Amino acid sequence: MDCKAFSKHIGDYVNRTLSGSVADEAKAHLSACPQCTALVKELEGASAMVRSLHRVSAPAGFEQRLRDRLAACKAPETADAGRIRGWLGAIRSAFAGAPVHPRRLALRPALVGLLLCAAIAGSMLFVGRGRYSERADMDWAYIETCREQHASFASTNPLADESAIILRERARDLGSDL
Amino acid sequence: MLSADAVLVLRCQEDDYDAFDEIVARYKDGIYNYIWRMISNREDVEDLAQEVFVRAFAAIKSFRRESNLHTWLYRIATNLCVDKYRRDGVEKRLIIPIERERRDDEEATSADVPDGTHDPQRLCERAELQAEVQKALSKLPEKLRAAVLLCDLEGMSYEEIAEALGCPVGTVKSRLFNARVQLRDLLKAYVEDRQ
Repeated sequence: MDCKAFSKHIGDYVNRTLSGSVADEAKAHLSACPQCTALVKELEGASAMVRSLHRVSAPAGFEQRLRDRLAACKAPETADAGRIRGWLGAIRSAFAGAPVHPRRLALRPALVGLLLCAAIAGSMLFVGRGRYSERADMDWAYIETCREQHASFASTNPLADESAIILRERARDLGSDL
Repeated sequence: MLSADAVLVLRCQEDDYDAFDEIVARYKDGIYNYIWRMISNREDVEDLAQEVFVRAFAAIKSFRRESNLHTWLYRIATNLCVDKYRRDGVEKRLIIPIERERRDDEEATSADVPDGTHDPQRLCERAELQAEVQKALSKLPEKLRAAVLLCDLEGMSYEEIAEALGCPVGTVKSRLFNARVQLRDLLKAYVEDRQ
């Protein structure tokens, strides 16, 4: 190991984090290189001086003053905010409260997907039913109009029986007798 | 198997305030010591140390369990010190009367570290050395100072320092090297005088 190679490891050497063959090579280099040895001693000296600094403890009453400060920092919570936080907490604990078996944990995304699909299908049925119901009402209004027109027309024209048969069949399809 | 810190965090997340008291009891001295060495203005040390725990308390619910509580607290402390350092400006941070430093360190030494010897000359020399080292530290850029304090004073590994400073391990190594080189240069005259 030459000086250039050693300079890459000098920090680790001073920090005592070199190990294995690199540490042996570094030691071998230092035994033959006074410049690198001097630099290592200076850096170790700087590190030792920082380590020699005494430790300063927190003053007496630190914890009590901190408790007072934490109590003062807590914002007063409104009743509504508290209730909402309670609900959110309840929902969260329902989903993630007790320790869950890993297999059940893995099934959780599938369960969520299933619930989502059920919700979409339900909403589509509801909307579709509304549309169907609206269309049936229009059909009934149309049939009623036709029936009235047919009644007035048939009373004056006996050949209109065929129209009456078609109307009766349409009414049967919709589940009611004319 | 959860570490003691992870258990404390878990208890805090379940609104167990006694667990937070335990965290404070466990780390208050380390954080206080680190901030004491990081900033020059002694009046601000307790305020900043308390602020570390106030912020930790506010954010503990969102603390990820795989993170390290120890390095997280030091990260908060570092950020607060750097902010404070920048807010105060260059002028204020560099004007540290040496007598004042010496007095602070003597007080702290006598209060916290019983020396075992009562030789006044030795005590005086020790206080002088402490003041010189602190003065040299205060002249380092804050990133270098944080790295060298976390390593040499708090005894953290490269990985822990990287977590606390939010930088790669390679950057930590380079900061440590540069910090030690600068400290060597700043303390050279003092060391030569003593010899």
